Amino acid sequence: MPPGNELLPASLMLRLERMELVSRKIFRGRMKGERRSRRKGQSVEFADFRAYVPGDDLRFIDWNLYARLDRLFLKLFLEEEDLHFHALIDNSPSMAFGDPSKLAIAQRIAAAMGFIALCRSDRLRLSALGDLTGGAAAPLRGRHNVRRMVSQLEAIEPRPLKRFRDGIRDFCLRSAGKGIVVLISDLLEKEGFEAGLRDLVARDYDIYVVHVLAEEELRPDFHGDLKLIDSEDADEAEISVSRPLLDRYDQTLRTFLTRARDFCVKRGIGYVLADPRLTVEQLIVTHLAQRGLVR
Amino acid sequence: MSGIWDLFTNMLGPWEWIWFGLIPPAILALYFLKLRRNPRIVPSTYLWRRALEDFRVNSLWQRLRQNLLLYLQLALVASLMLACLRPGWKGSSRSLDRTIFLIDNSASMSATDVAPNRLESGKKAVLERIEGMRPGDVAMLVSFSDHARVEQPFTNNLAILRRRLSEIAPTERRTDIREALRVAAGLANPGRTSSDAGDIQSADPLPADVVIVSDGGFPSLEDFSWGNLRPTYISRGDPQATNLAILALGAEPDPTQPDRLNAFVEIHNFSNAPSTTDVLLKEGETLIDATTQVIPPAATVSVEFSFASPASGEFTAELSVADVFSLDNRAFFAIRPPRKARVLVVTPGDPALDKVFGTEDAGKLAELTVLSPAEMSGPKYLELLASDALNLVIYDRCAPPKSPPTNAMYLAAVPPGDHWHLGEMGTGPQIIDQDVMHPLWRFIGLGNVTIATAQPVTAPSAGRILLDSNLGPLASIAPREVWEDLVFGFSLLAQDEKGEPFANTDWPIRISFPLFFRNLTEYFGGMDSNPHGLVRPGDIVSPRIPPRSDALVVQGPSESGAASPSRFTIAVVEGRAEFHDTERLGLYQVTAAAGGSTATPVDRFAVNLFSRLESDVAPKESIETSWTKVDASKGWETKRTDLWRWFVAAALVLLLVEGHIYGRRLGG
Repeated sequence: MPPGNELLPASLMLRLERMELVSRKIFRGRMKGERRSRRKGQSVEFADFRAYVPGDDLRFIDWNLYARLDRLFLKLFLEEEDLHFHALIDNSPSMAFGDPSKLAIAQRIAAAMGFIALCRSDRLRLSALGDLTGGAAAPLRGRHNVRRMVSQLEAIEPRPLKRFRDGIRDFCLRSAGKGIVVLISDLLEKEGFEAGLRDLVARDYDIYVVHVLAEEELRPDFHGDLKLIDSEDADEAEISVSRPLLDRYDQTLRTFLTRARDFCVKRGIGYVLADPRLTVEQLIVTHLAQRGLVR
Repeated sequence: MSGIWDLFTNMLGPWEWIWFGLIPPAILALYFLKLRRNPRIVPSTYLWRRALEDFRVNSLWQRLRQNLLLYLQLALVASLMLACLRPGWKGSSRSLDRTIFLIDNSASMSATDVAPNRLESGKKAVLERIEGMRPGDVAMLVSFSDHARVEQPFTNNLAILRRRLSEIAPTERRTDIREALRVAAGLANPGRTSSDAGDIQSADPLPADVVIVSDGGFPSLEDFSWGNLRPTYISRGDPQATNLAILALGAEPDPTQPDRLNAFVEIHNFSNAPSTTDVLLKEGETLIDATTQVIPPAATVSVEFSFASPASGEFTAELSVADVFSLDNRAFFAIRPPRKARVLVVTPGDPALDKVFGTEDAGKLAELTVLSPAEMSGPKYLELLASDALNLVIYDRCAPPKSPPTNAMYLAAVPPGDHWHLGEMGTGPQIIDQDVMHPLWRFIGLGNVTIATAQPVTAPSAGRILLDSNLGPLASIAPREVWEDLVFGFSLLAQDEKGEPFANTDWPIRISFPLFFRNLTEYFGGMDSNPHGLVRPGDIVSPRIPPRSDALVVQGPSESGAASPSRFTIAVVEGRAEFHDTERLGLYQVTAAAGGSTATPVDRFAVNLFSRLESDVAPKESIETSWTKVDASKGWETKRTDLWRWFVAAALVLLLVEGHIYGRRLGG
């Protein structure tokens, strides 16, 4: 087992290697993995019969059944396929805030889940919403690619993102396969996150949203008269901090979180709020496990 | 509009106001130009914009809260600007500094033309001024009627002043402000001493305000200077007040019917319109007589009554009219109890004296003892003198070795000593003058009296000639210690060369003779049926003293609200007694203390107001001295009440509030 690092501490790896990703949908992968696929193929597990047609492989004729029924039937077997796991990281400039930054948290989450996938020989692909020109990183499979996974994650840096939806769309275009998509984002899109998520939903992925927000966004510690400058579009908002304004902000935040959760729930998207006070282990072992993404 | 501007006294000049006026616009400009806001890069303004939209939508209060600091700053500047304008008004409060309140509590101040009465109205005005005292101010309370009383010396203790003020009660006395002014002037205008070092002031003058609360019913102030006193006169009373008053009540025995009295009541109308009233004569509560009188405006009417002498010896006259001043609607008259004079006659024998003292009427007036001159050395004479019961000793043609301890009358003799002398005997003196003012000569004329022989009388320097003739004084009276000696230079009987008695004068056969002896017994016997004279509230009365009495009991009118009459015990010292508690109008009876409550009165007297000044209830509009005139003040001399301090205080409070709010905003 490779030694731990900041993204993937050794203690966490010990915990994670016993876990596996679970998809609510069983998808057809390209290669044979450790997943049971509904596609009937050649494996040791009998699945069903069908009538023999000329040209079928004679090795799969069920001769016992022929002896009884005097008709030729082929045995069908469940085929073990690999799972495609996509970690889609929002690396827009807004993710650079926080201590640790939201991007760093996203990288850790992606590293943890990617490790689980690699341990299970699932097919892992790391993508960043802001990498519109660079393309997605090469897919990885197998435990031996953990180091490469970490490297790919560490290479993800904040990049300007024109629109959230554009990033999602670009991902969908580049990712032809199906699988689990874990979107790790702050969803702070002024035009709304809904359109982008709808695009994901339309691709029939098994989607999970890990909503990361910084401490200063969840519990702002502002004072006095400030000119807030948006890190992405340089929009300015002048505020005079007061208790009522902070109360109003808190109310707005809660409305936003509720909206995101309700949208996801209604569309079968797993939703988890990644409070910065939670550790990655707690997030994955407890919250994502509750959502059914890992076990 | 000008009324509003009267509230302000500008403290700043035009240029100063211009600079001051630039401050609010500068604050506005700075506030909106703005606010240095610290820039802060945030992940996204997405949530903040949403929050701000909701925040701003909320109402004027939120908008106000956003600019609350601005408004506080503007309010602070406005307060300072108002303070510079020195707003204020002339109010009833004033800095009293040192103030002497002279409060009239004489009889006229109980007039009810001002509710509840003038005194209470005046006290209320004083209380308002006292409540306006500021720290450091002191005040003194002096009440005055016909004498002054310091109710409270200078103090700044409001509670004490209030209490003392409430305790000032009305009196039934007349008014004389001079003593009260002397008290006030004594503080403000100290006297000067004159010594070898020169004329120096005995103390530093302490100027003071003197506030006189009165209706002005006192005599004008002659030769009075206010000096360091700053007078204010607060007049109490309705200028339209009217009053009917009894100004005199007298009674005389009917000369033709001794058991009847003739009484007269003098009533004055202090108004500009005629007044009608019933005049009632009462003995106690029993009506004796009544009459209705119409009294013209500003006129005096005298009403006469004739009635049987009241058994109680007392009667009252009342007016039925209900006017604002009721104290002068009743008058009292007391008939002094008859008392027999104790007379000792030392005579060798005189039929005229025998006769004059031997009548039934004389017996009613005097208790007579007759001794011969030879008995003057005897025990009876000495015993009589020592008894201290004699009112008069008549020495007829003799003189004692020592003046008796009582009044004495000498006929053709002089008291022992060198003070009296009889001149050379003369014949047929012509009476040329008679001191008819002396009570001894009441109703008596001696013009028809002839005297055969007489000696002129030389009296001591304090003597008074009662009868003068061409030979010189024939009768004189002079004081001796507490008594008097009356000396006639002629006797009733004389002796011729043969020693035979003859009538030296025909006076005994004149009607004036028994009248004289009646006057004599009345005058010297102390049984003057005349009342004590006009006794007013506060006067001192010397009642009769019964023999061998060391204390007297005086019963007077009930105190206000009391059910029983007032009783006083006074001591008799060296044959004299003085009664001072004549505060209340009404009838007083004097009895011997040893006699108990049922004792027969030995004396009576009545206390009446009978004061034109008090009864003329129209308040005076000014107090005049020989040099100045102080007009009645309508209210308190007002002084400006400044409010600028309040505005400065408000500015400080606003500053604190602004600082607090700013601090809270910084702390979130």
